[in-house]
Amino acid sequence: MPTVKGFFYSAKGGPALPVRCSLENDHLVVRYENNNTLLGQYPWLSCVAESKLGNLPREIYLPQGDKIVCETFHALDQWLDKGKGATLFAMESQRKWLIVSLLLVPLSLYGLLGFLLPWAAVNFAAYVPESVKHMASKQTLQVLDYSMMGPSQLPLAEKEQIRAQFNQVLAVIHTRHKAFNIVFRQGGPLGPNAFALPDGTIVFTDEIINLVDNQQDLLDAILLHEVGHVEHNHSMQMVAQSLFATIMISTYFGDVTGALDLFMGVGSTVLHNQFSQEHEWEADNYALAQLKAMHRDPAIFAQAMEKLALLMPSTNESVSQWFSSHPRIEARIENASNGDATP
Amino acid sequence: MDSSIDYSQYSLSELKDARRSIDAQRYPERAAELERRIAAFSAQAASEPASVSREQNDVLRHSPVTFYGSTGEYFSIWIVNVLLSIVTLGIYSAWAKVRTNRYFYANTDIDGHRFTYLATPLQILKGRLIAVCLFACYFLLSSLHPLAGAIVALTLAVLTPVLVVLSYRFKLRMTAYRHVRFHFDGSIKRAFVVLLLLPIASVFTLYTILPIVLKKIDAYLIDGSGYGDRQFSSRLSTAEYYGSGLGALGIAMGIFMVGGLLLGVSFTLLVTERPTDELQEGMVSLLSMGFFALYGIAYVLASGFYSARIRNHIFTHTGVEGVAEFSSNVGVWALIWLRVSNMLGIVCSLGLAIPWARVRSARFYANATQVAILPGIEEVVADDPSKVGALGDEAATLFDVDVALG
Repeated sequence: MPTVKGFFYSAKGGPALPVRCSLENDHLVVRYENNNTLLGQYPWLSCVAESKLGNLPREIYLPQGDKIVCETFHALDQWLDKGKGATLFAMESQRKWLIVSLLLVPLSLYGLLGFLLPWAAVNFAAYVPESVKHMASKQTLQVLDYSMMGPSQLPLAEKEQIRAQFNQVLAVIHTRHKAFNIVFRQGGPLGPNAFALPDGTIVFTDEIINLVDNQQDLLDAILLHEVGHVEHNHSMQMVAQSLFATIMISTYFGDVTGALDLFMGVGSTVLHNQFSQEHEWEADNYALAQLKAMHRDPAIFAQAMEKLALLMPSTNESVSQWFSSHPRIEARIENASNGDATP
Repeated sequence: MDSSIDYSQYSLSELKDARRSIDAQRYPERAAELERRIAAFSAQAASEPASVSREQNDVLRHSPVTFYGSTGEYFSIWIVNVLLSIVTLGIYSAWAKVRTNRYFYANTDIDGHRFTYLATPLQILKGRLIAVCLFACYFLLSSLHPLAGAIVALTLAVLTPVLVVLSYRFKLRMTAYRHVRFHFDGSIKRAFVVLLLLPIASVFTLYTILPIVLKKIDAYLIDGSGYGDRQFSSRLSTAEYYGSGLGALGIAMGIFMVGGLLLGVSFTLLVTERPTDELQEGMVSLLSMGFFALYGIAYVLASGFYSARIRNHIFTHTGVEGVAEFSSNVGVWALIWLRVSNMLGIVCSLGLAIPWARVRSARFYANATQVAILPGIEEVVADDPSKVGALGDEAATLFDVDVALG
C-alpha cells in the first residue's frame, strides 16, 4: 500500500505535525513522519473528506475537530469518496465532458438569452395588475413633468381637434385595452417625441406635432404605433426583461470583476436593445395592420417615419445597430411601404 | 544561572556586540547561537530589497507564496461550472463559487501549508437568494415608483458600511490556514466613519484629503482582521498614499494633455483638407472614439501604477503579531501588462480565456509576495468565538453577503 506525506492539525491550533498516511485494514492510519510511531487510526465513518477537486491534496476532518491534509493516491480517493461526490470530479477531469461542455455552453446560453428570457419576461409582464401599471404610469409622468417636460404651448382648440380625431381612431381599432388617455406636453430635452405609458396614457410633445405640420394622418399613424406598445404590454415586458437579464448576468459573471464589467455592460445593452427593437417592429406592424383595417393607406406611416428620419443621423453600419434601441429607420420605412408583405 | 539567554529580541548590532564580548571558551553554545543568528540576519538582508527596513526580529524562515493551480485543470472545472450554472438557471452558481474558491485557496501555499475555503454552497445560495430578492424588489420599485426607488437607493448607500463589514466578516471567517480561521472584528460604528463619512468629507475638500481617506479605509480593513488569536497590524504611511495618488493623477493628466493635443492637431488637419459634411461627421465620431481610447489608456496606466505601489506598500508594512510579516514586489509595468493582456484575451476569446486570466493572475500575485515566518506561528490557537460578539459572528456566517469591494 502506498504511503503519502501530509500534516496533522489539531483542533486547537498549535504546531502542524508532519505525518505519513496510509490505508490499512479499511482504516486511515496516521504515523509521525520522523519516528514512524502511530498517531492514530480512523475508520471510514469518522473521516469526513472534502470532495475531490483537481489535483488538490485531500482535506480530511477527523473526530474532535482535528484535520489531516495529505497528498493522495487512487485507492485513498476511492476509499474516501466511496463513489459519492466523485461524479463532479469525473465531469471536471474527463476530456469527454470538456468537449460536451464546450459545445453545450454556447447552445444553452443562446437558448436561455434568446428564448427563455424573453418568454419569461412576456409571461411575467402579463401578470402585472392594472393598478400597478396605473400607479407606475402616474409616477413616471410626474417624474418626467418635474424633470424634463413642460405644459403644452399649443392652442387649446388645436389640441381639442387632434384629440377628437384620435378618439375617432381609437373608437374603431381592435384593442383589448379599455381606455387610452392622450396628453400633450412641451418636450424639452425629449424633443419631437411620442411615447406610451403602460396604463394607456399616450404623450405627444408639441415638437412632434409641429414636425408633422399638424397632418392628422401622420399623427394617427404615430398614435397607432404607440397603441401597439400598450396593446403588447411592452413597458412591463421591458422592465421584466431588464430585471431578469441583470440578475442572470450578475449571478453568472458576478465573480468576474474589473475591466470585464464594461464587457458585461455591453452584453446586457445589446440584449436589451435587441428586445427593444423587436418591440418597435411589433408596434409598427400593429399600426400598419390597424391602418389597413381602417382602409387607410399604410404609406402614411412611411411618411411619418420619413419625417422623423430627417432628424436622425443616417447610420448604415450594422454593428452600431446592436447598440441602438430602435430599428434602422430606413428599414421601418421600407416595412411600412410594402405594407402588404408584412404579417 | 540560566544557561540559555533568549537572543530572539536582539537586533543585529546587539547580537554583534554580544558576540564580541562573549567568552566563547566558557559558553560555546551561546557563541554558536549568536553566530547563527548573525548569519541569518545577513542572509535575510541579502535576500531582501534594500528599501525594506523592517524591524528584523528573529525570523524563523522566509517563504515564497506558491500557486500550484494550472490553466488546463481549472479550465475543465470552470466550463463544467458554467454549464451546470446555466442549465440549473443559476442555482448551481453557489456550488460553482465554492469549488472555484476551494481550487484557488487550496492551491496557494505558504511555507508548505495551503489555505482552506470553508464556506458551504448553501451559505452562498442563501446569500444569493436574499441578494436577488432584494435587488428584484429594488429594481421593480424603482421602475414602477421612481421616488420610492430613489429612497431605497439612498438607504442602501447609507447601509453600505454594514454590507462591507458583513461581507468581510464572512470572507475572513471562511478562510483558514493551518486549520486556524481568520476573522474580522472591525466595528460597524467605525465602518460608518471610515467608509461613509470620510469619503463624503473628501468630496467637500475637493478630494484633497482623498489619499488620507483611502489610507484609513485600508488600515481599518487590515487592523480589524485577525488570524486565530492574533491580530493583523499595519503601519501605513500617509506620504506613500499621497505620492501614489498624485503620481496616478499626474500620469492620467499627462496622457490626456499629450493625447488630446495630438488628436486635436490631426483632427484640424484632416478637416480643413476635405470639408465635406459626411466626412466631418465621420471625423467627429472618430474623435469621440479617440477620446474614449485616451480615457482607457489613462485609466489602465494610472490605476496600474497606483495599485502596484499601494499593494507593495501595504504588504511591506503589514504583519501578524509574532506570526508573519509580508513583502510584495509587484512591478508597475508587469501589473499593467497582466491586466491588459487578460482583458484582451478574454474579449478576443469571447470569455473562454477567463480561466487562463484567473490562474495567471493568481500566479502573478503569488510570485510577487514573500512571507517572513516568525516563531509565533507554532503557537497560534483558534480564537475563542464567545469572546468577540458571538451573535454578530454567528449571523455573519449564516449567509454570504456578496458585495463588490471596489
